Amino acid sequence: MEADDFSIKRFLKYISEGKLKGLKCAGCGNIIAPPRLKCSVCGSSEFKWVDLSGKAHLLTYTIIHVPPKRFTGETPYVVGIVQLEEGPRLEARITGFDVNQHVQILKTGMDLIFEPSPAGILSFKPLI
Amino acid sequence: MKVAVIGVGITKFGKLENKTSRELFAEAVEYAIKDADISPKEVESVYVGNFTADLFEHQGHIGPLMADYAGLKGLPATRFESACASGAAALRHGILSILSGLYDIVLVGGVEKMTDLPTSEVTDALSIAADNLFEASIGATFPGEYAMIAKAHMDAYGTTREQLASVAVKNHHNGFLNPKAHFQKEIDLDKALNAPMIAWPLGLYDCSPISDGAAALILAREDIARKYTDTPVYIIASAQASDTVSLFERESLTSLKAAKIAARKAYEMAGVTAKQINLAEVHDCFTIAEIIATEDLGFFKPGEGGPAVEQGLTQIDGDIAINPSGGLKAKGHPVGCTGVAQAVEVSIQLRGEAGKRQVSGAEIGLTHNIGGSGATAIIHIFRR
Repeated sequence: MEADDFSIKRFLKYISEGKLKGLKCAGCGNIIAPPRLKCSVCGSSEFKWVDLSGKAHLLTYTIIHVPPKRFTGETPYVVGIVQLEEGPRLEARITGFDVNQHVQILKTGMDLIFEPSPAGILSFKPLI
Repeated sequence: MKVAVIGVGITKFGKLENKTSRELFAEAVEYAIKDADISPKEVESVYVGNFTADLFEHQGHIGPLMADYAGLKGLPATRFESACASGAAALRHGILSILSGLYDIVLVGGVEKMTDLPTSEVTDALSIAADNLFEASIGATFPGEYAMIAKAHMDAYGTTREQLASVAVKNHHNGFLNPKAHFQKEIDLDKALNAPMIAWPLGLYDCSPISDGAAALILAREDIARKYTDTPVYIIASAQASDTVSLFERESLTSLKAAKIAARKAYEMAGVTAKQINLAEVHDCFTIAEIIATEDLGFFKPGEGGPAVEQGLTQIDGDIAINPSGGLKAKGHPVGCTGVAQAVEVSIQLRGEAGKRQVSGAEIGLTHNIGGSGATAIIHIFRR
């Protein structure tokens, strides 16, 4: 049953379907993403899937010029660490702007929004 | 601690086209056995540090393979993998085996053969040290992880690209003095700053190279060490800690918590303070990593590592010599070998045999070996 499947694979499948979801702990309400077997705050393992707002802010980023083999041809692209409004941090592509202008456009702490990507790669774009 | 280094060996580092990992390992072991002036028959167990011969050479099961080619067939032989800290993991387990009372003399080696693959495939292979589901899968690379640490450190403390480049210039100078180093040429700040970008803000000279190499140590029970050598080097601390493999789940992006924990434990175990360390071989896989290492180890306050290297405080004749060997940056970084190679350099320095790169009057040295972007940290302290 999908509703009882609190797995990492389910989390990644949601992303590939264009949905950003997290686990809400039934014990303390903590939001967990990516999934863990137990809540890091209260230790409960009772969860439900909830839609996340998709709002986040940028903690740090890099421009990849030399990619792993499977991403050859996509450079330069931006990878960043984002903090979701609900608390969890994730690593994601930062998209939707001219990479050559990153110094002018990307600012640490700036607001981002989840952007479903055709390739199913977790992505956020700047809210400008 | 009751363990001493009685012999060391290291191959030339670099792109060694005609040598496989087993040949490199055997060469390092031969040097170490000769250096210790022991018979191979006296070695009781073998510990091999290696990250991923699996991907680099399509070769697994390398514990017994390395032992066999090194003339040590028959002995217990196991490979240790902790990403780029595999070498120190092997060393730590060699130490533990002597401390357990089971063995008197063991061999610890590290080896990596990286240059058979093109750069894109090496990048792919190294990325398995990150979290495959949440980091590598979105296109993050190893330089990319450290680039994000660099960007965070720049935002927090005003660390500059010039300060990062100063690490590369210093380590190339030290490598220039080390005949075993991958690079034996000096560079200047302009050259480092104007190099092609690998993962902004890190350019080519902010990154350690793709190297082949092997290193070996003969360890002995402390009380028998002087039977073999007049210059034993004593291991006075071994400490290890871990953290999340993923960078994004860490408490801090400007410091490696595992390294700070391991450092505190190591100083306690050795009964020394950061101020007493004369030299340190630290894990400068990227220039930012050396700056953060000097802060995590307590040599400089957070944010002061950048200015310190720029002011020359970490040169061979500075307040504390950091990476007199040339470090991973210039000596080279055959990943699973690095932790053992660091211990070889500190041992040579404490014996006073480091030639042109000798840190004068060195009494106490430290090695700092990091796996991944900080998920494994292993620190050893040595005294002559």
